[in-house]
Amino acid sequence: MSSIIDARGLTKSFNEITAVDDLTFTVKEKGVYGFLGQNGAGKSTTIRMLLSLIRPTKGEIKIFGLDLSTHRKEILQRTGAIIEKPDLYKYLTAVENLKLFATMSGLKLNRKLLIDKLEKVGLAERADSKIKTYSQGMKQRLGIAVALVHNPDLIILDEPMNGLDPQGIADIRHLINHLSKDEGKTIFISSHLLSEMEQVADSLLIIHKGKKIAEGNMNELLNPEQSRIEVETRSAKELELLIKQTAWANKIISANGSKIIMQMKREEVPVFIQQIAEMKQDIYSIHKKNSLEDYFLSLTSH
Amino acid sequence: MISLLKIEIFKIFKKPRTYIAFAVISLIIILIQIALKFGGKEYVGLMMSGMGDSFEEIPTKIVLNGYLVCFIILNLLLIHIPILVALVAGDAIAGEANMGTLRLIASKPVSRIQLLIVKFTASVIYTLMLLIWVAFLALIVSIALFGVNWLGVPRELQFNVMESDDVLWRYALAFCFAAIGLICVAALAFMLSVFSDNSIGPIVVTVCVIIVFTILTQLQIPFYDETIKPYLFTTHMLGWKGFFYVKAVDGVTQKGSIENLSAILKSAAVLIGYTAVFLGIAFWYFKRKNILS
Repeated sequence: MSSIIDARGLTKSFNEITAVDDLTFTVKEKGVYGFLGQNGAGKSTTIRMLLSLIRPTKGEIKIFGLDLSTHRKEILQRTGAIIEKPDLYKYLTAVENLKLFATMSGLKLNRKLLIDKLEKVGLAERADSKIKTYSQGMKQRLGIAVALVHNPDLIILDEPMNGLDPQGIADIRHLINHLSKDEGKTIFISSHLLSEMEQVADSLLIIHKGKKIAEGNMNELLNPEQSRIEVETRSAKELELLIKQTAWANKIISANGSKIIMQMKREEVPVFIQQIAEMKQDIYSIHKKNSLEDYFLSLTSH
Repeated sequence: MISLLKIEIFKIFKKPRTYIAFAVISLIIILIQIALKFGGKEYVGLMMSGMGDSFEEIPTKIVLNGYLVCFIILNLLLIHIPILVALVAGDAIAGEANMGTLRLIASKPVSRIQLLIVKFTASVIYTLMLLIWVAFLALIVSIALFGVNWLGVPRELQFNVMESDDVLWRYALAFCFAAIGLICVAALAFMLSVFSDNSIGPIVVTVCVIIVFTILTQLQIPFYDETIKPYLFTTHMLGWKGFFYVKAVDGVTQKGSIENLSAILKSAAVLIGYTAVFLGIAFWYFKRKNILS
């Protein structure tokens, strides 16, 4: 599988603040690539750099094998995007908005084709309503129709499920699965809804304070054969020193504040619990942490 | 490029605020025409006072014809129309940023330079349409209401008199000159729009600049005549009046003449120069701008 996005050493500083710090990642062709990070982690800045809305301070971006700084137009012709909330022209109708953005992508679509595109996101019946009369969910769906209007190969979605009700979220999830599995699109998606990301993403990139802290295949990162254990103690550093003197040393993922994250085979867990009990440290709790949410929080909550 | 321009014009004329300018201009011109139709005698009397007995004896209906009404309207309005131009040009980029659509259109396969070119061109088209509307109401409707005759333009205790067949071409050139002035204002508002993420800012700043510069232009203080006024674009925007100042030989005005054509051309060049500077700054900044809104 060839790479669609290839970012190398991507850095963006705003005055003295470094929003994205030496970020390197690769997005392979086809599939859904989840992009996670807390608020202010640098996700939107990264996405804006991918769309050439922001110029990187350092680093380079190649999309479809082309350098973004020199082949912007060719790349954007094959890319569709929603950036944060999909603000559209409120004084225009859905079909007018769609036609306008299709024209900007170099397409001339007649009304029938535009209505067909709106049909895909369930808005055909409201095609001639002004956007100011739309609910947040309808605007979100129209934003997706705008992103897809020119049939792009790469779809970049920044928080596409924001403001949607459960049905809306499910619709977007189905649409993402359809675009990825049936139409072979590559989807780069950021979202705060970790349970949703767990359902749609094949691969993950997690950033924290502008830096990459994890990247890889979802199944490898959340290996069900491996148990991720969070141990809450009085001092994680003290317990970490003790663990490092044992055979469990290479099982430590992180140790911060009062929590140590360990990763080990499921059958090793009872043995490990017995052994740390013998270390005579104050252990307040032990949790298994294998969901994406647990994994994400274990990496970012310090 | 043409299809992008069509989009921009479509967007401008779909906004209700666009029509506010046309409605305001129409209302003011009609009010002036009504006032002159029913109270023109007093106005002409005031205008002719001090010009000598021979002028005061001319019947009002001859002096107050469509050409003079148009001149009066332009004299009153051409300094205020820029405010209406700023409503659209100041909104061109900042309005998109404010709505959140700038990031969407800037992520489409259109270069930023192309985007600015079509947006400024659309603002210029709006400006020209507004000016054509003013020309229609102020000149054509005034001619229909008041008829035509010779045009007497008051000028510091003297009258410049032009025969009726020597006037229309002057209006044509005056409107062309006014277009250059208004495009300069549009460029100023457009440049400010590029720097802002809220359309109120560029519109208000443009209006403030016009008001302050106009006050300075009209200040009768000799010190400013050489030090500040020659550098204000508002000073040069008054250059349209030059088309109605005719050469006189032995007290007789020369048909088809313009008293100081070089001064008009110089003012036009200054306005074009300012326009180029404003646009240059706008293009330079927007090409590098981080679109965060």
